[in-house]
This record gives sequence, C-alpha cells and structure tokens, in this order.
Amino acid sequence: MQKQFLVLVEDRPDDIDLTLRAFKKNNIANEVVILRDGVEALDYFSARGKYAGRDLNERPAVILLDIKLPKVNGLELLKHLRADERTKLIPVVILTSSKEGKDVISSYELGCNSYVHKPISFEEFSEVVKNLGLYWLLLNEPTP
Amino acid sequence: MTYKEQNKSNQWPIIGLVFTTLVIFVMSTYCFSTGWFIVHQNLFYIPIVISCMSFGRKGFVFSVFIAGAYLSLTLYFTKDSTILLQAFTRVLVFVIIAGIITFLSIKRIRMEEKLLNMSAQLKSVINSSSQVSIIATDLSGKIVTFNSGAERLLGYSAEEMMDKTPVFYHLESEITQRGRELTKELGYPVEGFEVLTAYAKKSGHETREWTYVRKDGSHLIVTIAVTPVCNDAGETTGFMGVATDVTERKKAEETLRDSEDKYRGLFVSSHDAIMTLDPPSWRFTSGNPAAIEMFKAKNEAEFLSYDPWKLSPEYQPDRRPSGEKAKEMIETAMRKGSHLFDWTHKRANGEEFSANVLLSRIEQRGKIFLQAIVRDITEQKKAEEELEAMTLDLQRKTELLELSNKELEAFSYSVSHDLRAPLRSIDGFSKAILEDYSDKLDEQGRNYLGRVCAACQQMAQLIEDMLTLSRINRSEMRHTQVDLSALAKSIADEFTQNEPQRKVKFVIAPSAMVTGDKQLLGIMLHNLMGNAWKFTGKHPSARIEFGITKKEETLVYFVADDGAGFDMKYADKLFCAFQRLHTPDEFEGTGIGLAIVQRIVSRHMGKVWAQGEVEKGATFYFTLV
Repeated sequence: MQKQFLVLVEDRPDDIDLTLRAFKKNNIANEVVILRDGVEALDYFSARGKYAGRDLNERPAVILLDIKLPKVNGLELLKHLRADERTKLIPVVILTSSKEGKDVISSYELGCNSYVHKPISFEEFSEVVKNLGLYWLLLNEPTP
Repeated sequence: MTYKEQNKSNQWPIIGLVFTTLVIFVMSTYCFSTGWFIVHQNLFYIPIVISCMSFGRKGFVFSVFIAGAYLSLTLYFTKDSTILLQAFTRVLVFVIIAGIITFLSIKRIRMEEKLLNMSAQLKSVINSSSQVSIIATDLSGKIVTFNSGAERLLGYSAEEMMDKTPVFYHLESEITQRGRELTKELGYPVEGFEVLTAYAKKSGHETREWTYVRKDGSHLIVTIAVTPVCNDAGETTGFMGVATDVTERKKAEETLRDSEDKYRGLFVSSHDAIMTLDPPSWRFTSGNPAAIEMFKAKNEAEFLSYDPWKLSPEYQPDRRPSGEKAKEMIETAMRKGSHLFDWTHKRANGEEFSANVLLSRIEQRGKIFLQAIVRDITEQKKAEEELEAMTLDLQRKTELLELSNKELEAFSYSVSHDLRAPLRSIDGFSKAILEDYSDKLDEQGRNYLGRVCAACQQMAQLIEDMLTLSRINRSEMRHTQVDLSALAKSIADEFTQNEPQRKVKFVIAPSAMVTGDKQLLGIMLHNLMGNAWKFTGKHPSARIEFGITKKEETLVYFVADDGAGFDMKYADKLFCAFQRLHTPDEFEGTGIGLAIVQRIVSRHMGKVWAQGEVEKGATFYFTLV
C-alpha cells in the first residue's frame, strides 16, 4: 500500500506550526508536505523547479489549502489543480480563516471537496485538524 | 281693396247709362209725338257724354248709334226740312263732341289702367317677397301691411299683426335704450313707436340694426330701413320698414371675429416670438410682443425696422457664416413648406442666445411669405446643462460610493482573514506554553496566559460581530412573505432546548405575517429574543412575549421581557454598535446585537425603539414596511 501523506498549502509559519502541533497532539504521524505559496504548490504538482523529478504518481490523500496565499492564491491554485489531468482527482479541503459566503461559493464552484473554517481557539482548531486527519487519511477512500 | 273689387265698381256707369238711355228714349219719343223737338234734342247729350267718358271707343260707337236713333226718330216724326237740317247738324256736333270726349277718356282710362296695373304689381311684389320683411304702418304706428317675408321672419300671421304697432315684436330694452339716445339727441322725449320713426321722419330715411322677438320667443337680428310713406300731395301718411335677417351674417361675422381674436390672441400672448417676412428682401412685416421683447426692440415699429440678417452673430456654432446658413434655411423652408432648426440669435443689445426656429412658408391669397417662430431656449439649455452637471456629479458620487463600498468589502475581507490569523497564533501558542511548559510557570503565570486566551476569544467574537454587521448592510434583500410568529416559535424552542433548566414562559402572538427578507428578519428576532433570554437569566422565572400592537394605524411588533431592563436615560445608546449598558461580569456580549437589529429594521424601512425600567424588564418595538 502506498504511504499516505498529505499536503498543506499555507504561508503563515504560525499556522503551519499549529497545524503540525495539532497533528502531533492527535497522534497523526503521516507525512505532511508543506508548500508555502501557490507557485511552489504549482511546481510541486507539475514536478517543476525545486520539485523537478518528483514522481507525479505519488498523490497525497488530501490537500489542505488556504485561500489567502502570496503570488497565486488558493482559489487560482484550485483552478489549476482541477484543470490538470494529473491532479484533478486529488481531494482538496479549503482550510481558511474566511467565512465569507463569496469564498465558500467560489471554492465549491471550482471543485473543492470540503470547506473548513479555521477556528481561533486552539482547542477547536486542534479538534478540526484531528477530524480532518482522521477522515481523509483513514475513512476516505483515496483515488487509486 | 283688390283689383277685382275695383272692376266691380266700374259697372255703375253701365247701369247708369242703360237707365239714362231708356229714360231719354221714352221721354224723347213722347217729346217727338208732342212736337217738343227742342227738349229732346238736348236730352241725348247725357248718355253720349256718360258713355264716351266711361267706355272710350265702345262709348263712341254707342254714341253714334244713339245719334243714328235720334236722326231716325226725327225723320219718323217730321218732314220739316228746317228741323231735319237742324237735327242733322246736331248729330254732326254730337259725333264730334263724342269723338273728342272719347279721345280724352281713352287717354285717361289708359293711364288709370296703367297705374292700377303698377300698383297691383307692386302689391304682389311686396306681399310675395318672402326673403325681405316689409311692414307698413299708418302715422300712429298701426300696421297696415305685413308681408309674407315678415310672417316668415317673425312667425306671426298678417291677420294677427293688423292694428298692432311694430314695438310689439321689438326687443323692449333696445327700444328703451334707443329712446333715451334719441331724446338726448333730438331734444324732445322720444318713446314707443316714435323711436323707430323719429330719425326717418327727420331725415327721410334710417337704417339700423334691431333685434326682433319672434313669436316663439327667439331673437333675431335684423337690419331695418325705415322710410316715411307719402301721398300724392307729399304728406306723410305712414311709415314703411324693410327688414333683412342678418343673424346668419352676424354669426358668421362673430365667428370670423372670434377666430381672428383667437389667432390674434395666440400671436400676441405667445411666449415664442412670431414674425412674418416677405420675399425677396426677407424684411419683417410683423412681429408679436414676444418678438419685440426677445430681440429687445422698443416697439413694433423699431422691430420692423431691424434688418433680420443683423439679428444673428456673424457665425453660427458650427462656424458657418450666419447669412449663408440663413439663406439655406429659408430655401429649405420654402421648398419643404416648413423647417425646424437650432439657431444662435443676437438681440439688439448684442446679447446672443440659443433658439429653436420654425420657418413656415405661408400662402395667402396668392401671396407667399415666411412665418418664423423663434423659441428662446437659453433657460432650457441652462437647465439641461445643470441637469448634465448634476448627473455627472451623481455619477461621480456613485462611483465614489461604489469605490468605498469595495474598500469596505476589502476591509471586512481582510478583517475576517488577516485579523483572525494572529489571534489564532496568540491563542495557539499560549495554549502550547500552558501545555508544554506548565511546570516552569507558577499559578500567576498560568493565570496570565489564561487571560491572554480569554482576550483572544473576546476579540474573535468582536470580529465576528463586526463582520455580521457589515454583511447585513451589504447583503442583498430577498423579499418574501415571512411568518414572524413561526420564527419566534422556533427561536424560543432553540433557547429552551439549549438551557432546559430555565423556567421561561414564552407568549407568542399567532400569524404575524410580514413581507421582508426571511434570513435578516430571523437574525433580528434572534437578537431581540436572545437579549430577552439573556437579561432574564438572573431571575428564577421569566416571561418573554412576542406580540403585535397598533400605533396610529401602523402595526407595531414587540418583544417584551420581565428581566434586568434598563434605565431609560441610556435608551439612545442602546442601538449604537459596541455600546453596552452592562459589564461583562453581569451579562456577556459585545454590544452589537441591537445595532444589528436596527440595521435590519431600517433596511426594511421600519423603526425600532425601546422602553424599559431597571429590574422590571424591557420591551423592544419595531415596525416594518
């Protein structure tokens, strides 16, 4: 069985650390690939630049995607991912501070699989991360 | 008397003649038989004279016959040659005298017949002329002739009018009025019938307009020519009035005058300058007061003296010379019949103004000229420009507003996104310290970190509320029928389920149907009832009511509780965002709820106000349109 890993596209180091901490606290030991902006994510998913030579068949169980990102934002990235044969089937969860209805609608329109709001309280945040990890890594059947 | 009646009277000479002749014959025969020739000789003059005078030629033949009879009688009764000679001489004299008398009589009779004929013709003309009313009176005013024209005109028959005076069918007020005038003019009192004849009597003739009152009461305007009627001796024996109905003519005249007045009125009172110009020089031939005012002339004469070519600036706005362009406009109008165009004119004082000009070719009795109607559109132009400026201003303001709306959106987006992220870090790492370094902190240290986390939570809530408020302002309204009672019921159920331990009695008025945005109204009611729920929390039991009342024909909804209430002196602060009347220790909250309520109510064009008393509860009223 392929090793299950997930991708976190997030620019704020604090959020990265807190997310990783939440995974650790909840005993989710799977690898988390961290991409810090939209361009890096594009490179990663098309095996370019820094990620040249990466095996594109290695697909994450889920991509946790923030909307507000430098250079290419989360929604643009989502559009690219859905347009690309190689990535269009990877589950994408929008994980964002935004509760704007506009963002929710655009995200679903562009084909995200889930939209999750990041709570401010760490307890709640930790709970959200745990649930996401358990669901996408254990419950959800990944694309073959 | 008719013509036939006159003929009847002519039978008397015949009867007289026959009788005289018979008597004379009898007497003559007797005289002859007794030999009194002298007597009978002269008796024969009588029938001869009568017959010749009365019957002309026939009388003469008769006289010759009588003379023959006399000669025969004389021959019969005597053979005395002296007497016979005398008789023969006498017969000769008879015949000569009879001839002379006959000749004279014939002449007279002919004249009489002629006269008779003439008068009969005249009578028939008078009587039969039905188009003209001819009425003759005697001196006292009694009607003696009333022809068919008069009958037709007045509706009375000649019989009805005999012996009446014409005043009978005249308009009384007119007679009185004219009577007064004549009295003044002639210097002696004139009234009644005399009013109609006084002037004619004086000057032989008078023609005036009068009003007849017909038998059916309607009025008729007539022109009457009155003349005195004289006999052969030249004495006035009566008066004759010939009347013509001029009602129709009068009406036509009035209509013409009315229409003239109307058009004159249009011409005079028009705000547009109206003028006429005659070819080939195209000088003004008329100009209405508006034209005089518009071009700043002193009067019409001055206006007419203006050279039309000088009432425009040298060039029109399209840079074409005015003279050249004007010629073209005139040609177009003459060709097409009329031509409407914009023109820049110049007043006599040099001031230029924009105008609409309508040139029309008019043909009147073979004469062709141009009519120009000029409308000064300076004010209109000004208004248009103002409107344009206002529209531009409005557009700019709208753009600014849109821009600031966009900014606000960007701001709230950034608030929702960027302000929350650091809070999450503060909270997250505070928790991390508490978890990972708990043993290195004393009780106070842990307490401080706990406060940091609490402050984070509070700020998160504030941000949340601010976003809600801005969303409510920005969200699009979708109006539907909303059952506020059902909404209140479901909110009440939600509260009761969340805190089943509380003893709160909800009283909800049924079927409060309103038109509005269901989602917003739900948020509003949730806030109001949530407040009621919250501020009754410290009482062992509570009563919360959603009801409807009426104020000046308007439906007013309210949410009332018997909780903590408030001091009315702070009532005006209730609906301000982030204003609180309680400390967080007493009741928690961010102070945004009522601000949200107010925004929602005002977006529904309604009003919201509150009434309360400390510890006796609060009632929040709202109206929706």
